[in-house]
Amino acid sequence: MFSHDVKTQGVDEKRPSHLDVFLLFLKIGCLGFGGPYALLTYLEKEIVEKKKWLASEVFWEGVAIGQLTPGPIYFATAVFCGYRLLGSFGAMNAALASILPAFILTLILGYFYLYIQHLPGLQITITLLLAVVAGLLISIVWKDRNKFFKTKIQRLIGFLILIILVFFHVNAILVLVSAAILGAFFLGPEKST
Amino acid sequence: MKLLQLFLETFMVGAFTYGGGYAIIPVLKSELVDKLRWVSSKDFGFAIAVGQLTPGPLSILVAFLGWKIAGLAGAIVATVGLFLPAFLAVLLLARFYSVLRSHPRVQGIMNAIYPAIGALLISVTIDFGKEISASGWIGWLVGIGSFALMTFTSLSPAWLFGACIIFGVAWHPK
Repeated sequence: MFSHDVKTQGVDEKRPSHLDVFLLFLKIGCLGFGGPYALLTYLEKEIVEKKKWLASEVFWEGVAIGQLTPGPIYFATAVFCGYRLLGSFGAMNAALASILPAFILTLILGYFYLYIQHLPGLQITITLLLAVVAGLLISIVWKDRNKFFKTKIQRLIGFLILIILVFFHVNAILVLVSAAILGAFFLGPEKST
Repeated sequence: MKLLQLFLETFMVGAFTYGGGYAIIPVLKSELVDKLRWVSSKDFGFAIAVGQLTPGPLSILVAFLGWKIAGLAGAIVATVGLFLPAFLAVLLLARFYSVLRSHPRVQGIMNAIYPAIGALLISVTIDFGKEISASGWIGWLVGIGSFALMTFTSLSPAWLFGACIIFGVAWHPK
């Protein structure tokens, strides 16, 4: 399992140990606010500028891959960095360390929920939380409208899918899979304008 | 059996939610609340707040949902299931990135997936709108206010979630 480290040690003297990698991702995983792009900036500062474990181009290739893969972009970038540093085991290491702080805090908040779930104000709280989420989601669609609905054909697709979702309550995964299949065959780059 | 089904469900959700953490809200709601009815929409609403209040990605809200569905094992299974597709996709792409990036089929998929996710986000907001309307003007005020704050300021939504929870804990109707 560790032969990978030994083999490459001579090539790059700054190669970190598994513990170094784990602690770095654990530290960034504990940082809360600012959203995914802030986290990417922290990671770039640490891993490229301060510790010089990865070259800048390699790091940004990881960010690009994070945009192509499903799921949160920071998580994907962390996995990519772990992989480039210490192979598949390093990727696992980075993935675990990135999620662990949020996972533990989520369970703590879960126990907190057990105590507040019978409070008289909980129903109104949830409604207000949903109101915040609704405002947030519309704000995201509005701010990222050039990502979601960039071209005329994308606006048309979005509108048709919205009609289908609102009036026929089709399952979301079914919608995404159908969109992906149709896109693969009919929406190549040259036809997307 | 329930754990296996939970794993498969979260794995599917993880495999098809592109474009940042928020895409997960409509897809998880469609699966766990609307289709399987494993989670009430009340618990789902709180899960979103938990996902926002904790560090890291919003997606960690599946840990809370998994915990509500099947305890600690459920939390672990749901979290692994959700993050595993992204993990595997990165390992694959790290090897074949330069070939895949410019492949027309991959670009075609992206061109269709993004408007689909935009539509899902709008439709789940309409769903939430029905529940918000039940609470009268205060829900609309908070919704429109949070839209304005999120669009025109760089305030983190976590502050709004925190404020809602404090308000709710202190609330005692006569």
